[in-house]
Amino acid sequence: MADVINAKGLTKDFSGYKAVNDVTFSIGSGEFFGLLGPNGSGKTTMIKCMTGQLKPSSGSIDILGVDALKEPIRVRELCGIIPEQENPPSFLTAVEYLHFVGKIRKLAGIGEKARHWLKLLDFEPQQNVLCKDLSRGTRQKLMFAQAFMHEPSVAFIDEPLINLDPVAQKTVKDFLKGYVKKGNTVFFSTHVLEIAQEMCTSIAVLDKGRILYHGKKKPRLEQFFLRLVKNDTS
Amino acid sequence: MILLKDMLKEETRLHTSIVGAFLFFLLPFCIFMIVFAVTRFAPVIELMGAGALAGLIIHLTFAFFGMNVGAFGLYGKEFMNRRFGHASLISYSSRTLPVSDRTIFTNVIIKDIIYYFIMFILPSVFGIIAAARHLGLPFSGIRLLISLSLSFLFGLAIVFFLSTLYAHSAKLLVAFLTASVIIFIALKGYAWPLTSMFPPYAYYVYGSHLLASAITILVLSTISIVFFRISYSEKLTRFENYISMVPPGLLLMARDYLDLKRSRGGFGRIIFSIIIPMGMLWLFITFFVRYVPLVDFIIVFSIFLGLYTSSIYSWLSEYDSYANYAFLPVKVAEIIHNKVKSTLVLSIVSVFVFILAAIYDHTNLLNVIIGLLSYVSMFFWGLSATVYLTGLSPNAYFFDSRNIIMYLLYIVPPAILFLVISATFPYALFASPLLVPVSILMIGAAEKKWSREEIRSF
Repeated sequence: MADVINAKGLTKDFSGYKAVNDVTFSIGSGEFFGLLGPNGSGKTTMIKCMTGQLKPSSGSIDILGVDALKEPIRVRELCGIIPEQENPPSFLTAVEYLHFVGKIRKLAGIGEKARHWLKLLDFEPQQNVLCKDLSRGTRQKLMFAQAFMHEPSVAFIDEPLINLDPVAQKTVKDFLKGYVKKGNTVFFSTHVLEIAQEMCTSIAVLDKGRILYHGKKKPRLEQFFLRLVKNDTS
Repeated sequence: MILLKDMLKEETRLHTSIVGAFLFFLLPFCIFMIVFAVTRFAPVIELMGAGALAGLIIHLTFAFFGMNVGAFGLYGKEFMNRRFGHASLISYSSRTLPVSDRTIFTNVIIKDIIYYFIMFILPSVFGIIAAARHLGLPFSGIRLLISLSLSFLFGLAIVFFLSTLYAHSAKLLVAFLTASVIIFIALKGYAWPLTSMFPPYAYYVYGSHLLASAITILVLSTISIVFFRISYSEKLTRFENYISMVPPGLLLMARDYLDLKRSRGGFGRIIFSIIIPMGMLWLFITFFVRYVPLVDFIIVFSIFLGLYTSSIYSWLSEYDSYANYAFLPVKVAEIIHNKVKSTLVLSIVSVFVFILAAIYDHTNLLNVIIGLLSYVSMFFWGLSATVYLTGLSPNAYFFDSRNIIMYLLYIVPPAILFLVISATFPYALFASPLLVPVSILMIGAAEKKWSREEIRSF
């Protein structure tokens, strides 16, 4: 299994506070990797650094052979990203946003791709509604669709299931399982351990910016996670 | 009181987190120094024959500043929510706190006014008083402090009132303005002395009209607060897919356009950020040239119009957050480039204002050409300075005192040079477009500069 994501000595310092502290790991193709950690542990900062949205204070990141520090735009071309917080632009409609992203990504057959995602995630009836008027869950579906419409081989997804109803959660989980089966890689950040238990093949536990564990998923993840984080006195 | 205190704390933290505490708190001192230095140019105004006008110009400038910041009526429009992107401010939490919208809104206004006073008005007044003492000009400290503060609040209250009318209905605003113009003409208001239309200035000149000033400000502000309107849309409007029809090269501009069109408050911003201030600028310069026959109205107007129009970039950037693009393969340079192009498109409004002014003034063709060239040159110059210094966040980075100083160092010397040339040898302004290629180079440099920076989303 070739490595598609490599981070070495990754550190992000915010005025003396190390949100990510000397993190080193690698992830192979076809892995469903779960980055677990309590609130404020540095998960989102790490994803932002890895996808070129933030400049790390030190260290190196390599995604699909591309240096994320030197070529952040190329990394964002190759990967799909679902940010934790961002909403689609308020005054575009759902379908317009998919066309907007498709055009930025210079995709062919945008209309067809948009229709596919609207149907798969079951929000066709809302396609012409402004994003600001969509429910939180529908916005989440839209953000999911924008991340995968260019069929990337690596996806960084930050808490993607949190606002979805059970039906949509199942659709998304099934999609992601199939996506990984095809040899693609998912970098999945969450603090919902049940989802990580169900979906991930490998995990890392992040606390106070440092990796406490990186390896195969443990069978009783919740106990393992709580023990690890509670014992972290650093 | 608690709400107001927390809002002031929040505003301070917001700005200090962006530019740093030292540079933020240095800002009033810089404003003091800048105003002091500019007022030292008073002898230039005197040489131009405008010595008696200095007081009027200063009061009009303060009123103009108040007008620029006074469109509080638009605060109820939901597009204002994006001013600071994801920063979750107390003012946006009226739905979760047990406080009415009106109470929160009133506190926001008081907070903004306190901020403007501390950061800009008081340092400016003290700068003028210090320079006047230095020059031996006849300014009375206390009276000037009161009259300039009232001038600022007077301008602010007028625009606050007009923007509240607009928040209810654009037609209501148009009807009110039309009725005002008709009454003004019918009563031959243009023949009235300026002091009767601008009471804070009357207080400065004669020591009278203090009560009239205060009552006007209070009445307009109270009406505006009472009739403040929150207009969060509760309709689920559906739109056609315009983006599918837009060529890729115009994609980001199309988004700007749809934002303005669909946010309902966006075009209000054009009225209150471009059309009304330009109308005021027109009026001020008309008064100015009346006393300084050496200068031509259209040329002086075009210089200020160009500079003012360049500020469209600032508010256009204000309603877009880089966070929307950060996870997409879009270069910062590309976003800046498109904001500049959108600014160019919107600047057409100013060209129309320029043409109207030229027609109204019966300007000869030669001066129209000189004016147009001066307008274009100053517009590009001001735009390039803004883009270079503040990138995609003018609203945040203009609170950095270094940027304010640099901006003024960029724009004040050419503006003064243009004004002096316009009064002495206006034909030399045919060379003014030399600033355009320099500005374009600077915009290119700005795109590179901001591509290297880590863009923060607020």
